[in-house]
Amino acid sequence: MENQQEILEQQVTENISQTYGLFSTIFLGEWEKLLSLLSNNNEIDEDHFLSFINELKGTDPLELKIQYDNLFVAPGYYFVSPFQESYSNDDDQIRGILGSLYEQAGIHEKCEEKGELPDHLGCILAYMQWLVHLESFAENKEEMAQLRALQAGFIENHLQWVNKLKSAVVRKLEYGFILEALQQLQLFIEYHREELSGSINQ
Amino acid sequence: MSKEKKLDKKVNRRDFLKGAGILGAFAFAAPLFTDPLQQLLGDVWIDDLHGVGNFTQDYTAANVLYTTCEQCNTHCTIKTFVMEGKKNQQYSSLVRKIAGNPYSPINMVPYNALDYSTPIAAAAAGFGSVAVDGRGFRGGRTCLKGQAGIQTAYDATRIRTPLKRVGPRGSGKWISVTWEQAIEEIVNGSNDLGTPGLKSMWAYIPQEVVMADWEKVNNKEMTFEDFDRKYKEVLIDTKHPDFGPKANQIVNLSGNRREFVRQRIWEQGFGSINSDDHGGVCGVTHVTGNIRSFELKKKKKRMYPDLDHVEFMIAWGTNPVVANKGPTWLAPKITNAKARGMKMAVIDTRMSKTAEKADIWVPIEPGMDGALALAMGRWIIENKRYDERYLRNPNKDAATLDNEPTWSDATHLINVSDPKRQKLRASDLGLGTEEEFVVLQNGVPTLHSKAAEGDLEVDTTINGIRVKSSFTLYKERVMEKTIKEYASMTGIAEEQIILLAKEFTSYGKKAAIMSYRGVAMNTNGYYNTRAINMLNHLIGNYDWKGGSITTGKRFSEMKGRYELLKVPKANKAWGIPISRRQTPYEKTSLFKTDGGYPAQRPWFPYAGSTSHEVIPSAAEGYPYSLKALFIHRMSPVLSMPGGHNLVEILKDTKKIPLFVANDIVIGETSMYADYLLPDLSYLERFGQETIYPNQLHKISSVMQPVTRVIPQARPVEDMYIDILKKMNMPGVGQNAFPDGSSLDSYEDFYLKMVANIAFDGEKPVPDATVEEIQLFEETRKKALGKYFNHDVWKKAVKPEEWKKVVYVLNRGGRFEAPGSEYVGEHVKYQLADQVNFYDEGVAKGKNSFTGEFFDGIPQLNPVKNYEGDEVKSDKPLKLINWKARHMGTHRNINDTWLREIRPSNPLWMNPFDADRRGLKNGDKIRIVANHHTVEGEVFVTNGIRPGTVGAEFNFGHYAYGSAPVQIDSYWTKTPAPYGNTKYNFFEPGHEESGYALGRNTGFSINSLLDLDPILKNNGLVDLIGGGASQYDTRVEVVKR
Repeated sequence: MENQQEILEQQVTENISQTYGLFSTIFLGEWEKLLSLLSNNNEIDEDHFLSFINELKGTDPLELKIQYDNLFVAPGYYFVSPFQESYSNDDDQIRGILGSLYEQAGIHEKCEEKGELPDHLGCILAYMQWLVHLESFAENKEEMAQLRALQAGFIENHLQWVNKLKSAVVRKLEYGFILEALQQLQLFIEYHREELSGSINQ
Repeated sequence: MSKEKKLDKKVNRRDFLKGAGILGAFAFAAPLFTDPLQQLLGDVWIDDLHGVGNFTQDYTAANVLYTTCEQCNTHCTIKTFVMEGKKNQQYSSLVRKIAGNPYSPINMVPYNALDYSTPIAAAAAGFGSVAVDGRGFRGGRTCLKGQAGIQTAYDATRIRTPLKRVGPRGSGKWISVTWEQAIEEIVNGSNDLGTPGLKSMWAYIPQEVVMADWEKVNNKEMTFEDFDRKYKEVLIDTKHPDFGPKANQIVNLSGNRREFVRQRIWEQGFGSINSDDHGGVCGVTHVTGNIRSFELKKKKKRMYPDLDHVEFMIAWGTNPVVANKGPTWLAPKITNAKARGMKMAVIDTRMSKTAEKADIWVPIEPGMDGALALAMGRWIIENKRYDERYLRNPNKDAATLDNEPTWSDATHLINVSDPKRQKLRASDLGLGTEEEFVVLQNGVPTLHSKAAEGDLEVDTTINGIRVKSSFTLYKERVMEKTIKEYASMTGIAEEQIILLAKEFTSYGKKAAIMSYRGVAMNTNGYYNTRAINMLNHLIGNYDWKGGSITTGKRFSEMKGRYELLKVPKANKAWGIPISRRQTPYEKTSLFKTDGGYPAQRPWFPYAGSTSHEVIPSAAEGYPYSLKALFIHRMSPVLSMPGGHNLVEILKDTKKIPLFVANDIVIGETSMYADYLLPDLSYLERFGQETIYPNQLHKISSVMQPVTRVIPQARPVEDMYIDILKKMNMPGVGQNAFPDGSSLDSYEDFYLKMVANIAFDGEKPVPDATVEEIQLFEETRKKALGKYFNHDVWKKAVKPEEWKKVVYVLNRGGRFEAPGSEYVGEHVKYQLADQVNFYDEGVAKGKNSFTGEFFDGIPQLNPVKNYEGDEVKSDKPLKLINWKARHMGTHRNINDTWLREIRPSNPLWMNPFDADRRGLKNGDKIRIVANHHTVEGEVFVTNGIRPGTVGAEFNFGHYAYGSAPVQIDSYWTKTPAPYGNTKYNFFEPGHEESGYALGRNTGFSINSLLDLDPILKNNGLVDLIGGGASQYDTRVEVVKR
């Protein structure tokens, strides 16, 4: 029974890691990858909090690219900065810190290949994916606790600004996939934060 | 897509127990280290950043690069202290500080510049430690704008990738594309946008071929039908072959890099005559008035005194301690001059920073500068305070005998019987050739070149020709009004006018006028400028130590080792510019077909830049329409009179079928482009100073890259190279230069330019030493990373030139050693030519509306529209504008440090006017002009003349990172509590410290400017000077 519970916990952890990976893909604008997955009848259950992704089926990637570029790339009327540093008043070292973390983790290339700065939301989510994934390497409860404390700390330090980002996007985008993704990301982060704090009854 | 409200799926544990169909595809795939957990749980939170909090961070020559500033048009020579980039940043390096170049005299006043031969290691080390000697000794001066240039380069709102519009122009929606796609579609068109490609619109044929056949048509040797058949595919209009080839419908508006873009790409590559710069809304009228006050072979564009020795200076319509061509050298020079006893009068409607330091402040009525100059001229003549001996010299030989480097046309005779009122030629009297003029020497007609002296005042008839001397015509003009009448016009007391004239004529040759655009930005601007020049003429102060100087000597940049502006097999541009600059209406085919006067829009026979007319003319299709508009480093929507009215034209794809903009940020104009391409900031690129230096030394500064911030940004020159290659145009690729060398990247051009500079003069610069070459490479690898392509740079010049090129680049240019500025009592680099009271070129030109001749002697005119009618307004307050000490160009708005100085542009108003409107300092107001209304706040001050209001330009952004940038809008709503001083946000004039606020504060003063009632889509203009009027608008101000 204990074994089965552990397996379930590992499954949950891995799914949370993969969810970060999914959101990272979205916020790095990797539409071709996302759409190709949907085209293989990989529907998400209607009651799943990620089911909004199903609506992308058949969407022209160009449409998504336009939405993405105007929000996060072209510094025009619709531009909203996807970088954490833009929402921080007092910490001008964010990029340096995050870059060092990625390099130590050996996952810096993904961000660099995309030509993005370390505090880009997509890069931060990719690191969080890695951080959660590491739970499978924990050999004892102490390591697990340390790891989960790191995750909670990382959320606290580097993902709380998603609320501000969403508020900024709401001012620019009446509706659209990226807005929906941000809404659900916000809920997901909040869920994970609470789960890490142990407030959710498992 | 679903709306926000439809999303009601909460996250719960079930979601992760069962997973989601596609999540498996996001399993972590990156390779893990053998013990990632241990690694992570080790010292992961330890960040070993360098240099943080170290106030004495030191550097060596390996961290120093010299380049040229472009935060304003002064183009100061600067030193940058650069630190190597971190791996996790996009930028190649970080510019930590900007100071002045210690080798350059521009930025080392009052200290002497370093000897040019000083090794760069020693130059960077400075003299002693930073703590002891201060930063001034390690780097020269630069102004606040220059130091803030770091923020221009590293601005978060930089365009990071080529963008293509989505939806209609100005929708604000873009899609990122590659450079290759952008250039392909610019050249061959875009199906989805419906924009035509350059290939479909371009056609060229040489002028000689066309006009030879047109001559045949006029001589009935060829039918028009045959002509039309032969040329209809290549000419804009076969009925008007003088419009030129269709290539002319490809138009460029750019702020700088004129030699490369205008002369190489446009005028010899595309073969288009239509490349215009910003001069039309800047100083073109003043430049025209200056140039035409002297013989043309030596263009004296500006009025500068020798500040080191002048004893009485008039700063007229300029604010040199803040603006003009650079506070970096002008402020300390003027301060020093004041300290040694120079007296200074400042003629300015408001109490500028320069006026604050003046002995005499003359708050003149805006636009009445010509009247004041004529008033002074009257008093000087009536009291014989002019230098008669100087004025009687009619030629160089006579002047030389008097130890005068220059002479005047004061004694030259004008044929006033002829409506064109030209100077009397020797051939008219049978005395000599058409090239020679006539003076009276003791009443006897004499060749001007042979006379030892001439009679100054002449009004007589010779051989039936009524003649007057230039001086007499000038005297008659100044005598048309009394001093009292002039006082009434100018708003200056008679006593003050007399005081000015008396002071000006009390220091011999050591009095001079420094003047700039303030006297010329109105419809009478050319005449105003000429009238002021004549005061210098009257005392003959040119080339004298302490007098009026003629600067602009530089090391040869465009020729010498390489003929950079000559293109083999060039498509030589010809035809009528769409802005009709330097084109007399009477000489065009339109004059005949349109029935002569009035012309539909103004023609400008003299002005070299009338860029304000490009877009409005295109909208009218007069004289022809344009097909493609390229804009670079210019923002007409902000900078043109009533520029917001241009938006509808820019958005109209019928009027401008293809619109391409290169910009560093999405600006108020570039936001309407079809393709918006990321440009390099000035700290990232090669370039040149294109306006003029203004020193008594020979100087050539070089702009070179010191960092790279945006990986995908490219120099605009490289884009044009790609386009021209794609279109098989001359001037790029192989054999682009006369010596057979190629032009494949902009480095090929600019490094050859540096080679020209290095080899010019009596002898070239020395070779860089082995140590300096090593430092050169080390520094650039550190600063530019992969963007330092050593091989490409080195191959741009010949092997034997490279070490000298390095020598110049290592010092940011070439600077003549100080100490040789004078020869005896004269300056070394001289005008040494004739100064003109009479402008016979203008005298024979005609107003394109009325057909009336212009005047060779300055006139006084009220504010006039194109039709020639006086512009009247029911608004009581005259509106003026000026350059702020912290906003040199509209691009400065990106710099937070500068916005902290003063975040907005309050409207200055005298208490007299404020009281009558119930306004107090800081009140919210509405400024109502004839065509536009804006909102702002009032600054009540005695520092502006009653009846006049004004404000700084370069504010009122609604793009350029102003509206959209979350970092700013977020920040300004909840300002961080930094700083030590309590700050009152809304009390103009009390910006002791403060917050930057957003980029969209204040108002655009250009938007208030009156539109010409005839032209309707452009403002009032000076028909001779060509410049846009900026001081002829009246407004009312009401509290909101």
